Amino acid sequence: MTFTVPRHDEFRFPGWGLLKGLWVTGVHFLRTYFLRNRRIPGKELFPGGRYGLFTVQYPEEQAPIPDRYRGLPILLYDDATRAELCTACMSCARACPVGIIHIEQGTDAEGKKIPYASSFVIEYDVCLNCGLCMDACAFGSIVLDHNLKTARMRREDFRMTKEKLLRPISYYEKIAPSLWAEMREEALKRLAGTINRRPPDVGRVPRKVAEE
Amino acid sequence: MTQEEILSTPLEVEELETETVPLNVGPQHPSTHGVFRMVVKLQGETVVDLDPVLGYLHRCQEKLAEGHTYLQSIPYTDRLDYVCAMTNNHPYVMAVEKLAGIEVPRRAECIRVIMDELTRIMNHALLVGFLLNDMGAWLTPVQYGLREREKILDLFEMASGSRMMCNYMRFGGVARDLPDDFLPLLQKVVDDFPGFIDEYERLLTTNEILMSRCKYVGILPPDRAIAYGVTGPVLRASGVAYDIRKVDRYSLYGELDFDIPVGTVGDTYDRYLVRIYEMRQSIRILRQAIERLKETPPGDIQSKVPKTLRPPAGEAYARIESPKGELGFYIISDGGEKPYRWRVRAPSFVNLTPLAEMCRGHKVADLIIIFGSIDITMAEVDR
Repeated sequence: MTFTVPRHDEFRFPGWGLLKGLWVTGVHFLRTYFLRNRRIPGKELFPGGRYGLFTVQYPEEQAPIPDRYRGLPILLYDDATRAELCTACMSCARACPVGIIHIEQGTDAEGKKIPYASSFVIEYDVCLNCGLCMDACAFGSIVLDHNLKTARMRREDFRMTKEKLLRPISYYEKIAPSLWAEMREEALKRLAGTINRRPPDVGRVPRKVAEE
Repeated sequence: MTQEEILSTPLEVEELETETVPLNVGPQHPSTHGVFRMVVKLQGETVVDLDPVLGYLHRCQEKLAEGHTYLQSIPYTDRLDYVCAMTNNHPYVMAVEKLAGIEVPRRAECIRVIMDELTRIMNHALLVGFLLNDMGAWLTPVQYGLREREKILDLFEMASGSRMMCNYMRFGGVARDLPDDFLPLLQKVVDDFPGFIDEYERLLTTNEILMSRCKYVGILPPDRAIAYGVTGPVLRASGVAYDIRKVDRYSLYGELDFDIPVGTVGDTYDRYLVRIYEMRQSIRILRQAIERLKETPPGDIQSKVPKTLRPPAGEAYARIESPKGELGFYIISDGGEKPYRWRVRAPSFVNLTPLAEMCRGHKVADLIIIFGSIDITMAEVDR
């Protein structure tokens, strides 16, 4: 069905429309003094109603970040065994639309391939934050961080090596509990298989780093 | 000559000659909504002719997509029209689904319709504010629009993980199911929004300044609008009731009950009003879509799609009614992992073509308003 929009051509007392608009802004002006409708961290995600102050004073307070927020990619390792979840299967590198993930698979002394990444570099400055790498990863290794402070001083600082990318699972569980609950079972099962296929102490985060 | 001689010579002024002055508006100009340049020929302050210059934001997107797999192009569609990423995903995944013959579960269709309509509301609320910005009402009206948009962006962030570059739709469904606390908040937005539109209308619709600036400015007659291929709210404001949601009945729209607002004159005021009434209709659609979503089983959001998609050789065109007009994707496949040709029919670009005709005979100040009322995003024009 179609209908024609009314064009308000009828006679109106001159200035009536202006006064009505002023009334709207005036009500808002007064209500900001009585209603502080702001988002209080940890209390309410969503401000209700139409009146009040909505500003979040960012560095001091921060609006809550939802679980699914797509930040920059990080790698996970297991807290107890310090084993990296990544097996260098290259599916994230293939899925990345801008091709910023560079992986090298590790080998043992005889040149046989071992399921761990000897080098894993992500160029943070080109990342689209699209999350396709996370969707492609079957091992739950590459996930998206919730860190908003991503500024660096130099371009070279954006080349993130494996040491800078690794975070414990407990960290990810804290920032995105619902997403980790979805992939937890599969990821831990696959991790157990991966550890079996690796020589001992290969593909593990150094104890010193893990303790920090 | 001595001074006396000069002063005693009578001035011979037969006729004052006027000439047209070329004026460059843009490319760096706050009211061009991006990097857009208009070479305007002026007679005094009246626009005689206008020559749009495009291409400052060209990013080779169509060529880029030929080097990417089908899935990898979805994040790039977000960046076409960055204001409404959700509606950009939709026609692209529709085109690939058509090409590969993929079915979409009903729940995913419901979610897509909800996201599309939220995007439409958000885009129109923002555009009306920016139109007033162009008129000189700096930032007061646009803040009302931004406030409502913020709530919708929060919903997008909850569902997809990003506020603007959503990257939410996938072939055969959507990326993830809606989170548990999404629906109550969506219901809150839907319930609150008519009140917001009433407030917006109280503030603006019968405002004398807005009416005198907008009425009978930039008239686009229906026959010219059709000849230029204009779509979307601009076409409907000219009095042509053409809405792809009604014509194609894609996705869920065939069974939803909504009306199409049309204008009578086709001026800037009609374009403003059509958008206001479209927001009200979108709320109607959202209410029905939420009802239908609740009937579907949760989790059923993705049909079986092979991990590396190789659609059979052929071509497909899919279009939707995006907030700005007909957004279509034309894809040719040669049977490989990557598309052979990837073409976007961008509404912003086509709607920009009658700008010169709409502006002729108006003042420079009106030019900015007419340009703002077309509703374009330069990222989509240049691609």
